[in-house]
Amino acid sequence: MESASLPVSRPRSDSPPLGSLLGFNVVSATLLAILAYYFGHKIGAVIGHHTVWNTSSDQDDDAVLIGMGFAILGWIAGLGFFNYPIGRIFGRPVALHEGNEGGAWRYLRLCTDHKVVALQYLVATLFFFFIAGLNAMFIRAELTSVHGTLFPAGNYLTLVGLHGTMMLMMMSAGVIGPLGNYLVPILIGTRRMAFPRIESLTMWLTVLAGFVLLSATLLGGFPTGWTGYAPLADEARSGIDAYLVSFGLIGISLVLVGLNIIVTVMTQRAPGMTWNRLPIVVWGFVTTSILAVLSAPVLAAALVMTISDRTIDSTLFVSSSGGSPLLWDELFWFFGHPEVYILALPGFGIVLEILPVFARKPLWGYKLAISGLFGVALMSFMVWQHHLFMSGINANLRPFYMFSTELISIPTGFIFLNGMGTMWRAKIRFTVPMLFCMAFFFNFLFGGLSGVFLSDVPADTLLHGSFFVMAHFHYTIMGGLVFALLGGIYYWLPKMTGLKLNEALAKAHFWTMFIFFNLTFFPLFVAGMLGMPRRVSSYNAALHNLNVFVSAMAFFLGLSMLLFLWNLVYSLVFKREPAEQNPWDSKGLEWQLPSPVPAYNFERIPTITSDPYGYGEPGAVPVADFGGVPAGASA
Amino acid sequence: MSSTPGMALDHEPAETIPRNFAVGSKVLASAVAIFFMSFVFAFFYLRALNTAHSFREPHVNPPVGWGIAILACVLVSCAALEAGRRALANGPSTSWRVLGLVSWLVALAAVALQATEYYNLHFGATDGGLASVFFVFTMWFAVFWLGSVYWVETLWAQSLRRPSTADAEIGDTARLLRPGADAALTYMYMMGATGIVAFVLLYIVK
Ligand code: HEM
Repeated sequence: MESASLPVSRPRSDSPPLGSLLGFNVVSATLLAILAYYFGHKIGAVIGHHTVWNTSSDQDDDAVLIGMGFAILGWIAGLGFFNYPIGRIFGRPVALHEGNEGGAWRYLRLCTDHKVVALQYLVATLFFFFIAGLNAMFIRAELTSVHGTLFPAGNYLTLVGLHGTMMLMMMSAGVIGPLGNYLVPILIGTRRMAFPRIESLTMWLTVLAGFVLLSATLLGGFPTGWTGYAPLADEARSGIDAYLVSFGLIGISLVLVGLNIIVTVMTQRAPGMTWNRLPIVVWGFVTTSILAVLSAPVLAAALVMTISDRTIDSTLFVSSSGGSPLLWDELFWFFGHPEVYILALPGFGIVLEILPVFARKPLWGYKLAISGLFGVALMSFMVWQHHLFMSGINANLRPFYMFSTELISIPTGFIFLNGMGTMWRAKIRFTVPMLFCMAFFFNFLFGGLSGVFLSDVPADTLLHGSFFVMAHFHYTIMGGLVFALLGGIYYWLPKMTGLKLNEALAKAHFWTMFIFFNLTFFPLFVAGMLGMPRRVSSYNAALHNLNVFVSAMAFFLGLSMLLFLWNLVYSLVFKREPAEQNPWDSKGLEWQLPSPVPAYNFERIPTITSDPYGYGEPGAVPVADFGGVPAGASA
Repeated sequence: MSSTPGMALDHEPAETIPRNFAVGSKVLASAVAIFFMSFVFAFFYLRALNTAHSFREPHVNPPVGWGIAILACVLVSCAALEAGRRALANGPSTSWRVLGLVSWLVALAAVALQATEYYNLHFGATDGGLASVFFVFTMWFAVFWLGSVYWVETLWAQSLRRPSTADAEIGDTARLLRPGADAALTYMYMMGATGIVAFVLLYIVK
């Protein structure tokens, strides 16, 4: 260890000074991005040999895509991300931190404090999550009538695509971004992520991705849903360019988040933090990071292939000219299936981290849980062809993928065993985070079991493309991941913000969300069985009452999310009641620090002495030795 | 945020940043390699399907000479940086500066050659599966190779600065030059290997 003293960053003031508006921040980034788009579009128009703004794909793609490329550069430059790399060209030495000072202003620009980045992530992803939720409400409103009267059929497809793509993009970033970036350094006993600037970049790319996707509505929409299938994507109007670019940005962001987390955990664990003591939630983030690094590049490659088909007229997905649309399917689902687990694995980690705290029992089967996480991660690369059962793949391949898909339920089952084993004969405290975790198991069971149905080729032959599939993945993603995420937010937000959330509102949110979630999505299994197709706004009149019921329930579900939003605003903006240091009486390392956690997390890097699950064990040692200094800087 | 001004926090271990570079560059190289594997997959997939018998149109013959020249630049750039990295063992010596500069210039030449090759081709991206894979593969190879160009330049530029600056948290930053070069090489070797695969598939196997 070196001994020189480390400067401690201290925020100067809480209100943004007006002069800072001229610096590198979200305001300048927005202005630069818009200006850059305009110039890029002009240049693209010249390259594409046309000069008018229009939304027809055949004429406008070069302009739109070059415009978006410029806008990305403008956005990054406006936030100040080019300053350091340009400095490096002139020999500026390596430096770790940037923008950590400035109170509330830090939240609107490049900041390398992982706790600030985590909160930026949380606000940004929740913002887009609510927009995507609003789209869901529009979709359900459309489905209250048999022939869809609110929107033209093409707009319905755009709505479905916007909703699905936004949800998946924001949920991929929405767990690992806020909770991963916040918790990983603290839980392993370090002060920062390995590459703090990259950490900040991933967050700002996510924000940009959200806005770029929304711009699809100005460019004629896109008809492909979140799956972007060729050749439709090759032929669609310019709105699809927004899909391609935004998904690409998320892909890059995911790879970089994953890289950062893997490196941080591998190289920066505090003394005594052996692999066997690593909190299970960190394992969840590590496995999901491995998936992100291995699968998102394939998505990026598939996206650039579509972009080149649309701009330089390559024929990768055009079967009349030596290409094949199935190439897209293979590449997309090679990413797309692991993507589902990119969402699920941190959810598994979160619930297994929270359960022991409220069951007051050690986590049952720690190593089994890790093997479950790795088993799922590994097998997620071996099942993707089940999405193509009906796409004309070689029939001899089907049994293998049917079998491998069924097998993946075994490591997933480990996670259930861990959960049940931990809760077995426990005196459970039914706090809000615990309720969300228990609901996770309930919902995920339906999602998982219906998945086993779908893995069966004969069943899939009937159910493919129906609302059964829709119900299945909402049960896994929303019922599983989103419930776990909300459990995590209720559990950790007091630590992240230093403020308490209102418990009565939180309970009301939980119960309404749990009930209306099930009332919305369970009937959709039935609708699917009765043959209601996805992505079509008209359906058989016999299903009308069922759909009206589902839509009504969905609106209540939407209202329950507003309770959550109101709780955040009321508790964090108006009431601002300080949270205790350890309100849950948890043994986790993060709860030994003050709330909110100080700038550099630890005054002395702690020595880890135990795993954090020694509940109810007489003589269990504390999780860490803080070297005689109270945990947290100057506490 | 509660912190005492001027308070002394203990430092992170000196080896942390070099280890971050080492692990980070390997993970990055893996991710980029997977990106390029998708093009390799596309090559074999489309070649096997040969839809409309149009995978390889008769006039689609990527010129081997250009391919060799580009690949040679990539490999020479890697070799020069490897030699420079060894020279760095004794600090930023003159031989490091020369070799670093050579590596950088030759890396830049690879990109320039790639751009020039496009103007000398007798086919376009529209001419079937092979032509499509050729363009998308080589174009993105050049883009990612530009990453190496940037990386080598920053190492080289940093070594020209004297005296080396110290950072409160990481101490003497000059000691990071060698780990930086190691990390850059990990990435460049991966790119070199990708370049060989691309050359064999696109120019030889076809
Ligand atoms: C209030 C909650 C939600 C409601 C009412 C809802 C409703 C719907 C409906 C009705 C569709 C399909 C329409 C069709 O195919 O015709 C859909 C599609 C989809 N939803 Fe949701 N959803 C909700 C939340 C979520 C969440 C939280 C996620 C993921 C995190 C999600 C991901 C998706 C995806 C990926 C699609 C498929 C889009 C496509 O076909 O391309 N949804 N949703």
